Parts: sequence; C-alpha cells; structure tokens
Amino acid sequence: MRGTVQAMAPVLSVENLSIALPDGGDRPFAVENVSFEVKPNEVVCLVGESGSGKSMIAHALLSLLPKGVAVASGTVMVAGKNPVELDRQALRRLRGGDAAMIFQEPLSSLNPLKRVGKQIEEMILTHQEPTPSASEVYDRVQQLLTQVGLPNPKLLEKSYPFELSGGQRQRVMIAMAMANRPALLIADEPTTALDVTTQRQILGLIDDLRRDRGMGVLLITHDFGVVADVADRVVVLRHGKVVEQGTVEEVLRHPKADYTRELIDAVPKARLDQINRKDVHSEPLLEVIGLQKTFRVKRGFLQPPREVVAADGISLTLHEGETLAVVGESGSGKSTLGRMILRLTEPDDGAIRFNGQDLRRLRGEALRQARKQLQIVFQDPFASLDPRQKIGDAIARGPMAFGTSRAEAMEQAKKLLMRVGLSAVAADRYPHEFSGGQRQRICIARALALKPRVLIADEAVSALDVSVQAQVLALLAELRKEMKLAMVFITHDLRIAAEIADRVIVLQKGRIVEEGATADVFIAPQATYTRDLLDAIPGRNFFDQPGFANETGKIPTARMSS
Amino acid sequence: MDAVRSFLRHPSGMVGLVVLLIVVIVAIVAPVAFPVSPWEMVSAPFTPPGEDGLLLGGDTLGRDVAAGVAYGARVSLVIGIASAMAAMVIGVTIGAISGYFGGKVDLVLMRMTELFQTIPAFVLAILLVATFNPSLLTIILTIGAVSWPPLARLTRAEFLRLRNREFVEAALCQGEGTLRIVLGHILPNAISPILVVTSLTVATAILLESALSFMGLGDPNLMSWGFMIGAGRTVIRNAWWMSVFPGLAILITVLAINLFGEGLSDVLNPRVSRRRS
Amino acid sequence: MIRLGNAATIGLMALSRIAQLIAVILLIATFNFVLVRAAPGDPAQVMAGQSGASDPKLLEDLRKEYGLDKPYVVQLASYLGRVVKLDLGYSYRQRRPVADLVLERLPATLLLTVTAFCLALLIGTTLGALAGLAAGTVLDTVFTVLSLVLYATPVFWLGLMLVLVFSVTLGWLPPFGYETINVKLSPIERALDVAKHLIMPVTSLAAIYLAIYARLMRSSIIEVAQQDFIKTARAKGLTGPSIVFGHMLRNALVPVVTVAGMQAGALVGGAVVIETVFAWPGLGRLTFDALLQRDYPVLLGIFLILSIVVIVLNLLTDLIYKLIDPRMTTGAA
Repeated sequence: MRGTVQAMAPVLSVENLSIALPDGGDRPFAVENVSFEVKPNEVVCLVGESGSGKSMIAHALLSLLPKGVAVASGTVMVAGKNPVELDRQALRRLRGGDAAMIFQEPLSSLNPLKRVGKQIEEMILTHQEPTPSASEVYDRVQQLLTQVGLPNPKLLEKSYPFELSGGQRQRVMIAMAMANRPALLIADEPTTALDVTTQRQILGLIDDLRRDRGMGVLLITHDFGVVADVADRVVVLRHGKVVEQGTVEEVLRHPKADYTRELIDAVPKARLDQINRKDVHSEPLLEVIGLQKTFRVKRGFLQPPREVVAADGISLTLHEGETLAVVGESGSGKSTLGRMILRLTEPDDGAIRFNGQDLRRLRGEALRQARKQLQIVFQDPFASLDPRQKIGDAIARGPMAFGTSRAEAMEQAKKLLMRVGLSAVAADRYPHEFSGGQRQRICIARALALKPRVLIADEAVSALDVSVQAQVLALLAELRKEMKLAMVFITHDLRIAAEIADRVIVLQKGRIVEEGATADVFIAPQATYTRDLLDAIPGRNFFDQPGFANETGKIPTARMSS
Repeated sequence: MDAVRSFLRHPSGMVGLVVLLIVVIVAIVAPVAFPVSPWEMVSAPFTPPGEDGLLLGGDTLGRDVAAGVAYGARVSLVIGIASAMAAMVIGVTIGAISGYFGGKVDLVLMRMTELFQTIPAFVLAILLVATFNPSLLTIILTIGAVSWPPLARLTRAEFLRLRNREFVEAALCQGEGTLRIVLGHILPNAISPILVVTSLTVATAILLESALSFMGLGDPNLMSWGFMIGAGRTVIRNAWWMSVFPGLAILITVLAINLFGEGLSDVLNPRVSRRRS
Repeated sequence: MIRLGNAATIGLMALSRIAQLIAVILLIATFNFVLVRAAPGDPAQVMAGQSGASDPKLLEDLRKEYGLDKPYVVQLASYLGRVVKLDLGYSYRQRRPVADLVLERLPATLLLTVTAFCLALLIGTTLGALAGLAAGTVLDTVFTVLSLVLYATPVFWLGLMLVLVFSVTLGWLPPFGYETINVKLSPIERALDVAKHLIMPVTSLAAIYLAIYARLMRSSIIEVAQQDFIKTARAKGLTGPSIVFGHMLRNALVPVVTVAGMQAGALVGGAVVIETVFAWPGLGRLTFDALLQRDYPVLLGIFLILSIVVIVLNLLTDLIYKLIDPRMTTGAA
C-alpha cells in the first residue's frame, strides 16, 4: 500500500478547465471553468444530459480532443502530469500507462480485423520496459482476461471482436485498460450500449478492479441510477458548466441546484399506488395467440444458417384504455413482437385478433383499413420522419390516404401539433429544424392523426435525455386517458415500464417468462429472470425501488421545453 | 435552393461547371464558327498549327483539326449525355425493383448485374457495335447497355437502406400505397446520389465512345475525337497535333464533368461523397 | 458456432467459385450464340465475314457445319458442346481455328494486364495512403489533382503521348512491338528486351487505375482514421507508425480490394485499346485486326476468353479480400 500522503494526492485534478469549440458553432466553449478532482480508490461520476460537455472533458484528459477543439484555459493534471505540456513520447507514456480509457461502443472501439489477444498484447508491449518475453506477455494476457471474468481465456484470446457479445467486448476493453496498472481509469459511458444485467456486471467489475488496485475512476454517465450505484462523488454538468458537486449522499439526497433536482425527479419511478385495475372481464381489443417467429441469418459457405428465435409462442391480450409494457433485453424479441402486430414483420405462425378479425389473414385494402386503428411510434426520432417532407404533410397524409380533404387534414394536423405541445406553425417546417424530443412529439401526433385504438410505442423514449423522456412519458399518459388509447409500450427500461404500464410482460429469447399487473411483477416477481432484471436496475437500492414512489413520484406535466 | 448556393461556393465544382459550359458553347457554335464541314479539305496536308489560318493545324488530308475538335464536342456531349440517361433508366429500374422487393427477384437481378459488371464492358461494347453496325443510336444504346450496373447497385443499396427506415414504415402504417411510398418517400431521398453517379457516368461514357471510335467503331458520318486520334496515330512522328488536340479536348471535358459531379456530390450528399472515391 | 479452418473454408469457396465460373462461361457462350442470330443478315454470312460472304460454297459448308437448318435449341446445344471442348469455331480470314489464334495471343495480354494490375494496386494504394495520412497538405493536393487528371485521360491517348515523348522526341524506348525482331539474344537479354517494350504499355494502362486506387485508398484511410478503434489505439499510447501499420492500413484496404476486383473488367478493356496503340501482339491487337476484317468468330472467341480472364482476376481479389477480413471467412458479416 502507498503512504497516506500519496494516497490523498489526487490522481486527477481539473482546474478551471475551458475547452474552446471551433468558430461558427452554437457556442464558443464546450466546457467552461470546470474544476474537480479524483482521488485514488475513488469513483467520481460526471453526469449530464447530451450537450453538457461531459465527453469532451474525458477526451481532454488524454489530449484526444477532435480536430479544431482545444483546451483554452485551465489545467489538467493526470497522475501529476499535464497532458497539454507533455512531449509526444511522454504523452504516449501517459496514455495507457498512467491513465487508461474505455468507451461507449466496445464493438467499434476494437479493431475489427485483429484478434483481441493481440490488441491486449499491444498495450503491454507498448508500455513495459524492458520488453517482456513472448511467454511473459502471453501469461499476462491470460491473467488479464481471467481477471475481467472472461470464460475460457485461451480460446477467447484468439477471437475477433465480432465473435464476442457486447459485454465480452467491453470486458476485453477493460482488460486492455488494466494491462499497465493505470492510476486512473476514464470510462466514457461504458455501459450505455449494454443491457441492464450486463451493465450491472460491468459496473461491478470496474468497482472490484478499483478496490483491488486502488485506482481512481472517472465515470461519465447520463444515468443517475448508475451514479447512485457506483459513485463516491458526483459532478453535475449542464451546458458545459458545473452545476453542483459533492458526495453522492449530498447531491442525490439533498440537491442544491434546481437542475439537479429536476434530473433526479425525471428518473422514471414506479407509481404503483396509482395503478388502475381494469375490468378484465370485458372483451379484449387485441389478442395475440401463439405467435411464432424465427429469423434465419445466412452465414458463410457451407455453414448452417444462424437461427434467432424472436417469438416462441407469445400470447397476450390488450383491453381498451390499458397500457401493457413489454420488457426485455436486446434479442428478447420485444421489438419484433410490436412489428408483427402491425404486420411490418410477418410471423411464422399464430394469430393476431383485432376487433374480431385475424390480422394475419388480411390482405390489401382490408389490411390497410385495419392498420389505420393500430399505429406505432418508433425509437429513433431522426429516422422516423421523412427529411424531405414538411411536418404538416407528415401528419396529414394519413387521414388524406383515407379520404379526408387536404384542408381538413391540415387543420386537424395543426390541432394535434398544439395538443402535443408544439405550435401550429411547426406544420410548415422540415424535421431537421426540431430536436429529438420535439420530433418524438411530432411522431406521436402523426400516429394519433388516424385516431387509432391501439398505439405501439417501440422504445419511444429510449433515445431521449431523461428530462425530455419524462415529459414525453407524461404526454403519452395524458393522451392515453383522453383518447381511451390502448398502448403496447415496448422498452428495455424497467423503470419506465413501472411508471407507465398497468400490466407487464417480461420477454426472454422470444418467450414470456412473466406476466402480470405491474405492482405484482415489481413487488413479487415470480421468475428468476425478472428478479435478475429488477436487481440490475441501476440505483435500485438508493432510490429504494420498486416501492419508492411517494410525493416525488408525481408525473411532471408535459412541457414544450424539449 | 440551398444546394445551388452552396454549389456556387464549391471551388472545384464551379471550375468544372464553367469549363463544361465552355465546351457546350463550343459544341453549339461549331457550325457558325466553322461553316466548312470538318470533312472538307481546306489546306495542304500536314499543315502545322498556326499556319495557313489553321489554329490547330491540318490533318493528312488537309482537313481543319480545330473544326474537327469543335464538331467532335457535339458528338461527345450528345453520346455522353444520352447514353448516361439510358444507363440511368436501366440501372434505376433494375435497382429499384431489386431493392424494394428483395427476395428471389433481388437475387436474380443482382446476379445478373454482377455478371454485367465483371465481364469486360469495353470488349462487350466492341462486340455489340460491330454486330449492329456503328451509328449514333447503336453507340448510345451500347454504351448505355454496358454502363448501368453501378447505377443499379447504387439504387438498390439506397432502396434497401430507405425501405426499412422508420418513416417509410410509418407511411405504410398510415395507409399509403406502394407506388406512393416509392415515388413519394424513397425515390426523393435516393435521388441525389443517383444524380451524382449519373453525371459521372456521362464522363465514362465519353471515354468509352472515344475508345470505340479510336478502334474504328464510331459513326462513320460523324467527326469524333476518338476517330481523330485514331487517324493521327500512325503519323504521330510527322503530325503530333493531329492526336494531341483531340485528346486534350477529351481530357478537359471529362475532367470538367468529374469536377462538376464531385462538387454536386459534396453539396447534395456529403455522407455518400466521403464514402465514394 | 461451427468454424471450419481458414484454409478449408477458402478452399471450399474456391471450389464453389469454379462452379460459378463454369456457369458464367456457359452464359456468355449463350449470349454469343444469341448475338450471332440477332445480327443483321444470315448467321452463315455473319460467321464467314465480309470476304467469305461472297463465296457460296463456304456459306453452304457453314450452314451444314453449324446445323443452321436445325431448331435453335439444337444449334445452341451443339454450340455449347463445342465451347466446352474449347472449340471456338474457325476463322475463315486467317484460315485457322479461333481457339488457336486466341490462346496464342493470351500470354502477351496476361503479361500486360497482370503487370499493370499489380503495379497499379501496389503504387496506387501506397500513394493513396500517403495522401490520406497527409490530408489537407500540399502533398495531398498535388496527389489529388494528379489523380483527377489521370482519371480523366483516355488510356489510348496517354499511350500515344508517351510514344511522342519517350520514343519520337527522346528516343529512349521502342515505340511499339513485343520485342526487337531479327536479333539473336540470350534468354536474359531477351527478357530485358521484352521488359523494355513493356514499359510504356504498362505505364499507360497502370496510370489510370493507379489514379482510381489512390483516390479510393485516400478516402478509405481518411474514413478509417475517424473510427473509434483508432481513438482507442491513440488512448493506448501507440506511436504514429504502429497506429498506421497496425490498425489503419488493413482496415483501409478492404474497400479498395473490393473495387479493384470490380475494376478488373475495365482494366482488360483498357488493355485491348493499349495493345492497339503499341502493336502489342495480344488479344487487343487481334481484336483490332478482326474488326478491320469483320472476322466475327474471332471477336466472339476473344470476348469469351477475356471474360474468363476477368472472372479469374475477380476470384483472385476475392480470395485476397477473404484473407484480409476474418469476418468473411466465418461468415458473420
């Protein structure tokens, strides 16, 4: 162990850091006057929504800023060295030696054409002097792979990144980062691209390694749940400025800044007390029976196609005015289910009863008429609107396709735009003039223009910042009541499911593993898998989920600020 | 109109456009500037450039090289543009069907496209023109018939990319018909890369035409640049100007079209232009 | 996941490609057959060429030989049967079997195209990589302008200009031909002599493709440089050269090799014109002569053989591609 004095010296100190953006941007600085520290054996979280400049800070620490962006003033000391002042060789020793970094997308962060073992070896060979022998390097790589919890390191070392799962890839990245025992680990949204259960494992791994080695960790995240789980201290950023910093207890329990409070409030929370129990005896509006779907992915020559089961006998019912959440991790088939209900993907077998007819048997005009009552809102607000079509047309074309006059459809479109919190003049604008949250409102308006009875929301708020997410969720909740909409809400985020749904279905590999009223599923989960998912909810212990909905659990009203 | 404005600020694109306009003007005024047919003898054979009033010299039969170059611009531009159009019609149709419907149709059409792309296009062009006898029409159709594969592949890729885009699926859910979706949503979003590649196809078509005429497969009634170079080839020791000037004309025209096309590409679809060469 | 060894997978792929090759050859032969029937005039006259058409006895022989009175299907079957046996017909102009004529000229064409292809790929990617790494500098601009100009140059004209400069004006290189005739040379001297004759045809042919590959490689390098894994490599503290050689080049080569394969057909087409310019005794020169005499059987034979050459070149680039990119051999793209 190091001496106490040394241990107290921060491994990272950032003082009055400002990072200048190229001329002509929307603001002159990405980050202004930011100061904070990371001490050994400490996890500091840098939290903020998109555009807060949190990633820029991470990149500045290792002088990895993109072209045209530069540190304008202030100092950064990483393990006692200022990366801006180092010569090339010393900077290289710092990168990967004293401080290592991992990124959000492990797939694109690894060289696709190089075996992962080689990529870790390279890290060792670059930094260790004298150059270790081949067998030493091999042993070290094996040891690292074992330490990050990868199975069968001998075989794994020879794999290419595309052959690994997302979690395995991130473990490889971490193994690589650990190779030279860095004093500081910078992790830029390391779990954002991963499933909750994997996220939990990776965060646990980072925490274990931190404890073993006494290294400092700077974790960049947008998720207060993650902050609650792993951070010792937290720095809240907004528009490039520090809003608040302190220990997790201080900031999360007693936020001083309004912005911090808003962000914490916006974290989706179960409101299990408000569940409206439906009269389950009425005829279901939508009934899915024994849906089957297997995707066959062709592989190389003479190899059997890879089969992915997306639906293995899925059955469900949906009543008028009811919201059903379909929850699952990637590959669970949740999105495919939504698409099959709309017949955007053809099921292999099973039936979809809507309004007394089997949707699977409908063709042509009959299908068109049926689809009118089933609408969808997609995840990606940028891909969901035709970039060359005005907003008004996008909303009006549905009713027009069913015979409404143009004038009337446009009038209706403007009303809908106002209803979702935008102004009527938006009708004459193009999609690129709107933010992600606004686009999602537009997509909701478009879906509602046909007065559907069922709305399928496929990860409809997943791409949005938390504060915007809360507003869109609130809007959906209001509209659902107003229009007596039945909703299938597909999401990977159990917190969102708990907040919005009356009933929940948990999917795993195309099978329903659990189904029931939201409160039952969250309070007394029956399946192990559901329990694992619930345990993996970031910040669960801190926020005391699932039963923590109290006065803070109130739904913020829909605002136009997205 | 943003596109027009940013094109005007694209330096190399504008150079291409200006040079191209000059070539077009030369092609238009050729009969006025050179009232005597380029096939007529106007001076002694082998008149060097600048002598006897012939700016670019005279050829083996005393014909004016400058007149030939000016009339050649007409042939090159007409064949270049017409055959690129033909290629676009064939390529976009095949690519659109392949990309939109997918499945077996796609498989068959793409195998065919690959085949057409692998076989030596120029040799096939020689064979086709030789079979159906060289004329303006057969040359245009032939060049169109061997130039469409890149356009088909591009169109297919764009259609595939757009077909599963959420806004297209949303249109489907909203009850719009197939034709409306293709013409109203997919094609407008795919058109700019198609236009860019078509403009670049004009350039390759001009090169292909010049090579065909060089091999003696041009329309025998039309004075073309490739034919002039072919005629000057054997006497290059005595009359360099006979092959140098028409060649420069091809070089400049093709370069201008490429610069224009790339400028267009940068302006219309920055994403694709970075991917392409 | 079932994984065959790399070598085994590639071997199997090569086998399936050979099967495809045979199918393609039969398709092209069928195309040739259709073309002869679609040509204006009697097929016998087409096959006999301009001079032979006036000879009634020859026409009669031809009709009998090709069974022109029989149904098309029978004619096609017998034609394909002959093609499989490498019987490509008879040139009545040259009074020799087409297969002999074509195969005799093939080595010269292969020498020219393969040399040009390799040089263009090697030099083009190197220059392109340099330009891409130096993007935005004067060097990059010079390369870019040069490659744009080369890309716009008609290949046959470039050849003529080389002749004008290096043979007519400077007298350094022989203006045409395959080798110096009527001299006795040792094998080494002879090879050097051929090489000297080869310089200009290869240069003019390679220059244009070099420009294409250089431009492609340049943009490919620039794109790879923006990838996340390059950021990882920098964050690992690697030196500039180890980033370039260890992480960028191989990734950047993938799209270039793909396009190189697709360009093989154009390259062979270019060789046909270049051979005409330099009187290079290959298939191009044969094409030119056959065109002058409208020797149709020869043209058909050349088309078939050159198509095979291109497909083989394609197969080679495909294999290179699969060696570069592991995702291709295990099939999970």
